[in-house]
Amino acid sequence: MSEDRPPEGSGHFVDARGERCPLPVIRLARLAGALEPGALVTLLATDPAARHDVPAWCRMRGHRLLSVSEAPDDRGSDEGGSDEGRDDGGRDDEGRDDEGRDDDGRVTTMVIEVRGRVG
Amino acid sequence: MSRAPDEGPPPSATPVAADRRPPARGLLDAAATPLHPVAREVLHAAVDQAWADPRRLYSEARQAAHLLETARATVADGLGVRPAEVSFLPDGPTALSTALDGVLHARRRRPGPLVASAVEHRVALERLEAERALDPDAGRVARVDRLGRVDLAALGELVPGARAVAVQHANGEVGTLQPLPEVHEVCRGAGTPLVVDAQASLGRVAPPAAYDVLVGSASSWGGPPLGVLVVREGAGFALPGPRREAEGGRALAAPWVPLALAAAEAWQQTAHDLEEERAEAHALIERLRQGLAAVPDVEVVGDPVARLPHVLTFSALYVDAERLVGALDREGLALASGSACTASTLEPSHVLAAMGALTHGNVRVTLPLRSVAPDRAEQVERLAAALPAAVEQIRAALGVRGL
Repeated sequence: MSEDRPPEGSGHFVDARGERCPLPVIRLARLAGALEPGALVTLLATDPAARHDVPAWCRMRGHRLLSVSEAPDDRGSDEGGSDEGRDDGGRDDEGRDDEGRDDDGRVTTMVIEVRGRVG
Repeated sequence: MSRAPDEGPPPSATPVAADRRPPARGLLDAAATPLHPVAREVLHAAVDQAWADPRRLYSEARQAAHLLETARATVADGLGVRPAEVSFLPDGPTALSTALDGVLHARRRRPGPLVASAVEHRVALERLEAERALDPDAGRVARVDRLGRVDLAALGELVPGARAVAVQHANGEVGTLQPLPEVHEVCRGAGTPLVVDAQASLGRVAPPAAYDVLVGSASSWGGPPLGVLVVREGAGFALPGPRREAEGGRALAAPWVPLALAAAEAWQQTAHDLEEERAEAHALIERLRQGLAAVPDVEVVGDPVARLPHVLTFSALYVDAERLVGALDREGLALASGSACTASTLEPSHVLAAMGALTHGNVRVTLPLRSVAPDRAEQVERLAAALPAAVEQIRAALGVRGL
């Protein structure tokens, strides 16, 4: 579970590396809202807050968090994410974001199973 | 900035009249507040009368020493302990650090970890990490539930064999009160000293009685920033490092006596009003809690019942806390946040994280004492009125409505 590739069959993928909360959760929510119940989504995030906020969001929305894993952020030595809208090209392993704040150099990969909208 | 309808006549080109002030700033963050007005007077007078070093032998110094002991007796009496058990330290975190040093050093020849709840003050958790850096078994964190209460079953497994245990009286970020009598019983059963951090609670609720070592800060009861350390008789306590000649061997220097006098005066004033203060703050926070229940996807964090009367923390899903705090600031309301984007640190609040709460969109209300913020009820009304629209506007700007 340490590779930042979507697991077999997951299909849907959000690369929120370099983005600060609440953006990773917002992007995840946008995608999940368009999917059928049971669909799997893989999220990559570097903001440490996402490690806490994605499980909390799953709890609030009734989605299932299937797995969480962490690995060093090896962007630059890897093909990286495939998702829409990475506008932070040329970033190195430092993971310095556009407002000069460091993340902690770790990528969290979380896989969720979408449930239909609740409430 | 909208002006309240009853604010007075409409603006005119003439110079501002004395009765047409802009709305007062609403301070809803009690981390640092003005002094209690009577403590302020005492401080002012004491600067002239109690400036001397209490350890000297000339008459001004003897006067200062006498006043310092009077202040100590007042605080000790309020906490239900003996004056010799009370030391003044420069600030609350220093008192907490000294407390942990003292219990751990006294039991340095015994094996076993420092155990702390996951929502303790950073000083305690960083001390625990420092112990673990030397020996991975020398520090253990006791988990908390979704309300922030320490898990007594988990604690019961960790405490036997522990060198010391640190648990708060109440958490200053989310307000949750810990079940201290039960925690202390577990500790006593195992012969392990319990350090209780009451920096957030003294002056807000009755002081705790179930502890071996207690830490507080006079700023929580309307006094100046001054740390208080209580070491109950019989608690093993020994400090490493240089000999400490002041404050019963627990401080490197005597406190500045005017601060101790102001702290004692603030204690007396606040203790006198405690029940009325507690009830009013509790009702104001309850009103905010109920108002927030009507805002979609806002989670109020912390124990709804066993809580500090003056604390309310909530997280608004999809909302950027920096924007929300900024929007409220422009409405004249000063509030804190536990979200990472509003702090100088990378990590969001460890307290919210440990509770499994949403860490983004977080706002924390801590009501100042009524004695230092007489208009706080009015400010709570303004906040209750401003919050739903502020959350809604940010969600609209982010395009997250209906997500």
